[in-house]
Amino acid sequence: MKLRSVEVRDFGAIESASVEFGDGLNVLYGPNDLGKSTLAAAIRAALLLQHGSSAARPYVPWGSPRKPSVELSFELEGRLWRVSKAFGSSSGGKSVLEWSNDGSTFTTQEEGRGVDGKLRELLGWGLAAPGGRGGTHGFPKSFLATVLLGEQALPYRVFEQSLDDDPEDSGKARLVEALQALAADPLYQHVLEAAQARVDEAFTAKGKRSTRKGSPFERVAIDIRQRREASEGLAQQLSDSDAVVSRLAELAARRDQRMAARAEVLERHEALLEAVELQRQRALLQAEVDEAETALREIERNRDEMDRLRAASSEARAQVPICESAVETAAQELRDAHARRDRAEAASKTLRAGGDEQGDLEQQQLASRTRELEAARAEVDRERQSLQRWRAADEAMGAAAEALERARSTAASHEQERDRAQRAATDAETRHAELQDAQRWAELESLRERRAQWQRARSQAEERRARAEVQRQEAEALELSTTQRGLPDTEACAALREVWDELRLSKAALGGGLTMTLAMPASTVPRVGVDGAAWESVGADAVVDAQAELAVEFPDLGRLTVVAGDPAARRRAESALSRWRAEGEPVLQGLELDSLDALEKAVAERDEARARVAELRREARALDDGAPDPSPDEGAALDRSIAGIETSLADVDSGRLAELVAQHTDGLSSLCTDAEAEVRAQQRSSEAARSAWTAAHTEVRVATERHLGAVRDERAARIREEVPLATVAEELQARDRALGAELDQVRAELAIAGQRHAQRLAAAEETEQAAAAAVSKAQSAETEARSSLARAHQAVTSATAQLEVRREQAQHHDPLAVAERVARAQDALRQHPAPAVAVDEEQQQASHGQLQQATVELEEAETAVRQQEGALQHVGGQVVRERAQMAREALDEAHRRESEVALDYDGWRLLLQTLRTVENETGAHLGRALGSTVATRFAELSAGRYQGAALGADLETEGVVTPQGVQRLDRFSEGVKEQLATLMRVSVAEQLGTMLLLDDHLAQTDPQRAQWFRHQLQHSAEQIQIVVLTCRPDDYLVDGSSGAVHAIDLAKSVQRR
Amino acid sequence: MSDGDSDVALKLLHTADWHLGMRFTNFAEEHQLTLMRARMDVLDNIFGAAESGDVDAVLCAGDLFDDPSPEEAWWRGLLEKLTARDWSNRPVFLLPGNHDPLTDKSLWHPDHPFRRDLPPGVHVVDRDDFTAPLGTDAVLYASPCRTRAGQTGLWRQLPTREEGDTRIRVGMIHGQTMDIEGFQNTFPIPAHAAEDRGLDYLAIGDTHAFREVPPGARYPIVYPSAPEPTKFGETDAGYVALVFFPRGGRRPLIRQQRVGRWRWIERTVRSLDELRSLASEPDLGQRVLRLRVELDASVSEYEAVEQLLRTLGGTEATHGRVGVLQVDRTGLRLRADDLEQAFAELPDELMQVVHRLREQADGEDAEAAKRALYHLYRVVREAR
Repeated sequence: MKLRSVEVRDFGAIESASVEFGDGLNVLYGPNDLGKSTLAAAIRAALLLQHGSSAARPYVPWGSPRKPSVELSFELEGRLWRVSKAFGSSSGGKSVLEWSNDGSTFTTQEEGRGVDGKLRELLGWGLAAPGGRGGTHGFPKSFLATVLLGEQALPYRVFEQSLDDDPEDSGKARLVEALQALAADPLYQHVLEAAQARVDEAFTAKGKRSTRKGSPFERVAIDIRQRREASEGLAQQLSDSDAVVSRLAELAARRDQRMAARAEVLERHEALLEAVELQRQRALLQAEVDEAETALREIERNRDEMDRLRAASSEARAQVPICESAVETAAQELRDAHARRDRAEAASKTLRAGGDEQGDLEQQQLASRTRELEAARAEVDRERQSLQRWRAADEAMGAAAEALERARSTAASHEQERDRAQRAATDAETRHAELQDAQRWAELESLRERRAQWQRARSQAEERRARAEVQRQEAEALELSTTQRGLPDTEACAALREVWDELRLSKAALGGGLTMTLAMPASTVPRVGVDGAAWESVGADAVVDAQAELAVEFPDLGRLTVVAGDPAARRRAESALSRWRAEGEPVLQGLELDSLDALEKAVAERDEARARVAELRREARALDDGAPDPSPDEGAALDRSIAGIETSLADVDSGRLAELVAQHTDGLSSLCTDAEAEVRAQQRSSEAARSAWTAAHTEVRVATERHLGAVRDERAARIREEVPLATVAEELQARDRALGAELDQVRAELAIAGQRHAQRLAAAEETEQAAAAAVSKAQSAETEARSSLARAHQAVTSATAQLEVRREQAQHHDPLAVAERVARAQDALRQHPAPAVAVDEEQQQASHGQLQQATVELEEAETAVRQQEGALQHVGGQVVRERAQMAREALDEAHRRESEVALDYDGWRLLLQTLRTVENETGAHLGRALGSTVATRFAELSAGRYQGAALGADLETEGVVTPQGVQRLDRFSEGVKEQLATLMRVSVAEQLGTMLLLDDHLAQTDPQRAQWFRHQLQHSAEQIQIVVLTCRPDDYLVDGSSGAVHAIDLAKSVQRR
Repeated sequence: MSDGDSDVALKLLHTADWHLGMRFTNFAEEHQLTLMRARMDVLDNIFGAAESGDVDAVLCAGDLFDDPSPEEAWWRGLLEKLTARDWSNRPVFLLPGNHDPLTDKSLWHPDHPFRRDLPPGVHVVDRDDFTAPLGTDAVLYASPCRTRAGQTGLWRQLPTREEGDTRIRVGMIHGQTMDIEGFQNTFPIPAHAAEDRGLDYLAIGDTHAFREVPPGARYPIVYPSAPEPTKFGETDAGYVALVFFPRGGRRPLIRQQRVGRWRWIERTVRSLDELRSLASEPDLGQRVLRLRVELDASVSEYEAVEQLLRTLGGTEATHGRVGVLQVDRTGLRLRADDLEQAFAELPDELMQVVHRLREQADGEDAEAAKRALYHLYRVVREAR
């Protein structure tokens, strides 16, 4: 609350007055009897007195009908209030209470009797409501009304009141609220303030979580909001993505179903097609079988026909000579007949002319037999030709057998070569593998060496760390030892030294020397105290010397103390002593040291220890900052590599590998490369040998087939089965020889026959006739024989032509191949079983239609899947999933932080609540709270002579605290009481943050203390408004007064009646 | 191609999954920045390894950015690092992955300033049939991701080996080898892809752990891992693959080389000693530590725990020992059994407060009461 202005009319001795108040210290000064106290009374009346109260009568101007009136403006709770009162009886008085937010426009809050009720409510000073306890007659009383608006005449009336006397609790409540923080133990207060500060950070006045800028809940709320928005945004994206994925999954499932359905249809269709194909293949194979069998049969038929034709031809050929023979015979017989007829005729002629027909006949028969034998020899010649063909076939078969043998021999040779090349390739591979193992072994050795280096580096790093840790531990121990004693820092120690020097110098300044001579009755035994030493009894006539202070105590009379030096020097010494006791002694006592020198020595030792700590830590950091630790990953990687190689070489002769590595230290890689090249070369050789072997093997197969053909040809060329060719040849030779012999014999007989010719001539003529008849018969026979021969020739020609045709056909026939073809076709046919169910065209078409339908449906489903996959590209996929997961984790983390913050501040709030509860329950000891402030100031004012007021829980004053204990107020002078009262009033006003009206409050105070008060009031006026009414402005307005002091010359503002 | 080493026909550095611009929203802001910058900083190690290893080419197998349109700071940063080095004799191939697919609006588009300003020797795989020679005896085939959602058969876009082609054939695509349980296979790559396409080496990216698929294969498919992990559980991340192709067509030698600085670890401590032991571990400054405290602590122990956590995690005024610390205190519970000793010699009023809170510590509002006791303990301790 601050006063802003007061307008007074016709109030007591004041005719009119107008005063504007400023912030801070307002010094209203004027001479006695100007009306200062009346002005103060007007202010009090405006705030406290009902306009119809009889207590206003003293302020009615003498001999004037006018009513005393006051208009007071003041600020309270952020508003400008204006109360206007005209005091008088119920008919003439009036009251108005108005308020304004801008200082120019006022709104009426209350009028008439309601004004004071509202005012007392606003002030909260413990004043009774009008008509309530506290009386309506005169000024209402309360502790705060007395404190803040105390009358001039009784400035220390405040000692006679307490909050307990207030008619209403609002004043106490306000003070409790204001002073509670001061009411407790300092530590309690410290905890309370700390808790309150933390609660104020986080909670509103109504206990809700604060959302103002900078509050912890606002920070976490912003964090959570941002993270939630991010998370929700990503969750939405993810939801969209999942929806698309879900839809995609459905579509994919549908596609899969359709794919499966199509696959099923396709499988059926393919099974059907397979059956059709099987049918087709079987038909083809059957056709092939049929065709091959037909071909085979045709070949066989051709062969049979050839055999038949060959037989027919042979038979015809055989018939030809027979026929020829028959023709010849017939011709011969005809010729014979002719001959016989001729011979008969000739014989007859001959005989008749002397010839021998009988002889001629014998000769003719022998000639015939000769021809027969010659024909037989021709047959032998033909057989000899056949024998020559047989021999040729036999020789060809032998050649084929030899070729087969040679091919087999070659194949065996190539097989050996192939095996040799394969062994060489295997050897090369073994050598290459061994060299590779050796390479790995060399790599293993290298890795082991690196692993050992790594281990050494690690050990060195661990050793450095251990040394650093030792340094740090030593530093910590040393630091702990330096901090445990709680020595002050160097500056504080120097400050103590200054205090001590000040004390020493100030005491020295007091030392003036005192001598006291006692002359007392002998019965009196006084006690004296010299320079603060213990009391001692002295004789009645003693002479006592002292440097600075002498005290003598007379039994039953009292005590006299004499102090040397001027007052200023004493105050300086007292001040220095006080400072030493407050600052120096507790330090030495706390450290159990007996002197400041000892303290300084301990501080110096502590500083040295700190320097050593810093040095140790620098050394530890230097060790830490040494060579970097080898990476554990590198070690693990080396271990893995070593283990990998060791595993791969587990079954290998390590000695052999070491030997290889030792032998080929630098050229292992090139050896390995060479070995690999050798492997490839040997593999190529092996492949070539295998190819050669394969070719030889093929050659064997071809030779075998040729041999088989030769065997078949030989068999076909054989003249006789089961008889060796040589035997047949010998038989032919024997037959030839027999025929020759017989021919020779016939020719011999023919010669003999000539001899008998003559003998037969006679019969010749007889025979001539018979011969003529025989000629005729022979002619017929010869004609018949020639016909037979022509038929035989025809048969031979026909058979030869047909045989040639068949032979021509047979040249294109490969019966073995056809037989193999038949076998293959039959085998293939056997391997293609007939389908279980025969498939017809209608079934095929139906199946094809189903497949097309399934394909269309599958394509539709795949199109839908692709469209959805396209949609998925727009909603994020896995990337959004990862980010959403991260955002969720971030939100969870923020919630955890919020919980932590909430728990932390809930703890603070609970602590504050508990502190408050305990405080209330243990009693709001306002006296203790206010007492500390008052005590400090009172001790300062009195230079330690007084240590404050003993105040009760309700601020009732119980006495003055002195070094000797609490002393009753009535034992103190008026000046001390008004000073103490003023200090209390200022302190209360400070705590409430409200204005204070002091009306000549230090009338009994000496100038020295008044000067102290001036400073104090100026200091307090920095927080509150203080209105001082005084006739001694010089007590407040001196050069150097701060700008917050408003000096108001009431002589100019007050018009006295 | 290298001439100095007669046994090696080709040397490659294979990296992937940089995820530049990736946000770590579950960390505090300053740590987010640290982790985002780490992804950019590790590029110096990668490019440095390429130079010190004198590789013939650098293959970057996708997900180089976390988004196809990253903020300028990230692509500008990469551009600066690329521009600062000479790639004219050591080509770099950048492959769009599923996080940064090749689209019209991506930074891979020819009109994008990133693409426009790429220095000589740095190539973007922007065609399905991308082919580039790696010297005279080797060739690279690559095919980019064009979507985030998924693409099947990317690997089939790499051509098969023609008869008589004896060159070293290297493939590069981005996707999953379908052999990790729980991983979505939106860009599937079968284990026989390299052999099927006649590739001596198939460089891929996607999962963030270093792996050969299948292990020890004659025609290996390799994940080089993310050079810096992106989350907890990625234990085998932080590497690139250095690939040495020996002459003679033998299987390439693959070396796993660490380039990452950060290791992401999760720990649970169940005693104060365990926490102290953790706090004394070395290299914590290079750890991203998720620490779960499961501990029933007395108030003094609780204070010690909090002090150690401040030492590990730092405060507004000091750096912590751990590079990035994330603490889960839900398992940290306060015991109220040593209060007598902890609050010895308190004024009567404060002891009343202690007793009341202790009574509540067994009731409905137990956690708040315990926390209040802890606050009281700390304030009193600090005041003394």
